[in-house]
Amino acid sequence: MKILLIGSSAREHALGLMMLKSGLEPRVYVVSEYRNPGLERVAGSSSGRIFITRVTEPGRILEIAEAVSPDLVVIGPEEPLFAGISDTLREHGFAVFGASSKCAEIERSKVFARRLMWRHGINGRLFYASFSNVEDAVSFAEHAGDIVVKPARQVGGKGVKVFSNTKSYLFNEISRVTGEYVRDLFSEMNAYRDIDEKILVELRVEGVEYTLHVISSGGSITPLPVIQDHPHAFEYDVGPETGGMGSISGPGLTPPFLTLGEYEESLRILNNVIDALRSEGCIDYRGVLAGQMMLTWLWGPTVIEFYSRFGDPETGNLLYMLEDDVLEVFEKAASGKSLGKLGIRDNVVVVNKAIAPLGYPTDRRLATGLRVKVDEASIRDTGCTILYGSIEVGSDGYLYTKGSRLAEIVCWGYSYEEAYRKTENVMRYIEGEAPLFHRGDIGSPELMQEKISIAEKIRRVYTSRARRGLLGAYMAWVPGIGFIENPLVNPYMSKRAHG
Amino acid sequence: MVSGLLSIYAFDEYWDVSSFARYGLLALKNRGDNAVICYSLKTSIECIEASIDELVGKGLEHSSNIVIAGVYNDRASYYIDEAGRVAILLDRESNTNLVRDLVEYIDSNTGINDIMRTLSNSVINPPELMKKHTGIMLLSNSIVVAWRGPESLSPLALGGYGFDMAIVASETAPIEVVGGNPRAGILPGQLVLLNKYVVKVFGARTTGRVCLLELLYTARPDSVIDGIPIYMFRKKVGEKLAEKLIKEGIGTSIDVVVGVPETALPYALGISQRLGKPLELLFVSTGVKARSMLKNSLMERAIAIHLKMNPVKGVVEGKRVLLVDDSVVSGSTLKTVIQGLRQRLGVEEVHVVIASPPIRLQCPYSLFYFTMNDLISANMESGDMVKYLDADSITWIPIDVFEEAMKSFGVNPCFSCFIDSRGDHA
Repeated sequence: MKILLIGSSAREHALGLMMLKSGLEPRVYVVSEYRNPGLERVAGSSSGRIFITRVTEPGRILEIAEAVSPDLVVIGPEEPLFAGISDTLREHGFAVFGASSKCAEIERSKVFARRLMWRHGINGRLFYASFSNVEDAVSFAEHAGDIVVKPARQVGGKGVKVFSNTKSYLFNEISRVTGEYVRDLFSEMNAYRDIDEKILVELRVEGVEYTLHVISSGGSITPLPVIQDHPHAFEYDVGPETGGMGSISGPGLTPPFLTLGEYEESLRILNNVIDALRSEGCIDYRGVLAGQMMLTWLWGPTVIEFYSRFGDPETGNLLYMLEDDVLEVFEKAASGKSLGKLGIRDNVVVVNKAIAPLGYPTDRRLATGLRVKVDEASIRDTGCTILYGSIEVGSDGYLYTKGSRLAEIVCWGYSYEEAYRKTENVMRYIEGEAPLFHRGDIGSPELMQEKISIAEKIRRVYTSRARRGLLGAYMAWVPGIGFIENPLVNPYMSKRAHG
Repeated sequence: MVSGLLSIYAFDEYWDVSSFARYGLLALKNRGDNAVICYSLKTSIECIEASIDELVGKGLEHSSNIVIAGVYNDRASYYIDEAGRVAILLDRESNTNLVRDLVEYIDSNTGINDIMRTLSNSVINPPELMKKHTGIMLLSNSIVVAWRGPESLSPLALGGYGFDMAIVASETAPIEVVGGNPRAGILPGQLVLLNKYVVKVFGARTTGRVCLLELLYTARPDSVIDGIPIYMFRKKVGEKLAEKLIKEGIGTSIDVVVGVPETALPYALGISQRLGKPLELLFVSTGVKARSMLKNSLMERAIAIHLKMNPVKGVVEGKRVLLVDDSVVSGSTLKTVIQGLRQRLGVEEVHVVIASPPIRLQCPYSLFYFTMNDLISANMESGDMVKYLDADSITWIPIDVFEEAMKSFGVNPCFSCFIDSRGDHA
């Protein structure tokens, strides 16, 4: 089977490796924006080919597809989906595993996603306000209290700031910074002409995060195991937001901090979202939908945001979590056939750790162009897999960083202790001319214990509120005004947000 | 000396963390009244020394996204070089040669890459100052290094605020007071690098030592030190004490439990709940809450005690009272309280119970300044002490019972100032 795999990074490397295991005699052709050493090998080892070009230009991708004439096109990242690559290829008769641009709207516009959830009354929806005018946004955010400020469009997982403004004695400083940040983010978002509302303000929630992916064929969906990503750049959940510094999964459907009931509720939410999307122009969702979820006091399973594709680093975990031939599943989904249940290895846990150059994510220049040495033979001996990410083969044959997470190390074991030890031992086989960093805490039994105890606390709150019929409800009482059921509607504000 | 350390590090320059630092310092007031705060400014570092009240009252003079600060129960122990390129705050006094060695060791001219290498090495073979002390160092190139020496007894914790700040503090409560979340204890032999580009904990997580008085007295009850929730720890010690009192027959022959404010209250609560005898709040303090044990002159200590001792009327008259205190240094607090109980409130009996073993030796690490002359337990037998204090009995927690309680929390604290009391009358 001839496959055209579109995308440049560790996620596509993982997808490539999974497809190579298929019994359908895969030949993988890759379209990548740079010479990713992992993707070069995926193509090379299956008698395919790698094309280096921008992955967001429909005309160019169509040309390649027509030259390759693949049986299946698999699109990894979100930007090609937003740019309509899947639409163009489908119009020309290709079988595509990747959401249409209409369906990918659920990821591209965070305002659309929130509005959809509220319009259709889907559980796990957060209070929000969105803005197309900078002054409204600033004065609203300055007084809104405990909030998260987000770009209204997906911009590669960046730009999110949490303003936990809960201490009255720090109100002035936090409020000042909130205002300044909203102003700056607004002007940055002005560059994106494809959205009207530039900024989203959401209620801040705390809890345990996790990602649930489903594969959808339009008519049916099949769920994947829950995987937990770690967004903070640094150890112990400190530091700026990144695309994800590592992910853990298993054993079986959910890591130990999540109950089967919570998994099922999360799945119900995704199901309802696909149904809601169908009524809003996304007729056939053929690809991946993922909920970046959090267990919160407000709802239990709560949607932080959606992906219209596989998460990165989450995809790496699937390498060892799945029993079935994924290529067959992708093919079925792309051609709208009914999907069966995916076989999941129920006794295995997987720890996947990203490694990045110093400078990621705040100063990409510092993190770019550094030579890296990888001892692949030693990594292979440990039974772990390296996935190449933001790293390219230079003209001199050496590997150079490209500013983001350069690789992921994926190891499996029968316990977190075992998988964790393996990943930590492998890290020394990757060396940079300048220091690289990874999070030594991800996958550790201590961190797992911590997540379990946070989840227990939150479970107590939301189940108690559910019993009292208060799930998803928020009540404030303002003297002279009365009950307010939305924490973000500030009675002292004359201007109203869209919501 | 007793001290509290703090660093607030915002990763970007939107933030002026000085208001966070103000409240962080205020939250460390349990550890001393004198403060020093060092700001990372455009090209150099500037430190200001003042009392916490002054710093909090008038606000801070500079704005910066990176500060380190300390509170002390004596003169602040800090160092800043002439060029304003390095500032170091230590948990207690040190030798200036050791400070100079460290400044040379961490060359402030080098960048983050070299610092990373230096720190990796220093975990294996730390310079003396990093071995003996807990400290925080600020370099003018926006790098902060906080460490807890393998031989140091002063704790340290790491926390974060959203995606924007890393916070290091001697205990966890100040991290929460500034709106952050405590994330991990920094253990003996570990150090943490705070920088825009990386926050990294170096060194293995080994169980190390902490000063027992840290757990018994110094830390706030709302803090968690090395995984030990302080309030729960103190209540547990109270329960153990109650069991001893029951065995000795005192537990059943008292009417009411009272604690010397503020620190002894969790112990008194633990005892009261275990004995099933009521706890009464007998004393009301006047003005600011001062911590008597951290005062360095006898007069200051006496003033601090007298200001928190005005008794509530009508609660204990004619009753047999169990009086709980956390520790005994010179016995002057107890003497004052017992006189009041007998002469002004007319109690029937006063049984004293102390939530620590007798302090018999000077602190070899000079965390506390008691000299051998100050220590009543080093100079008097229990029998004489009961007479001197005008008490009906005095009970200490035996050190082995203590060790049992410690074990259930998985810690191994420094007992140096109590050690002489092992196997004695306690």
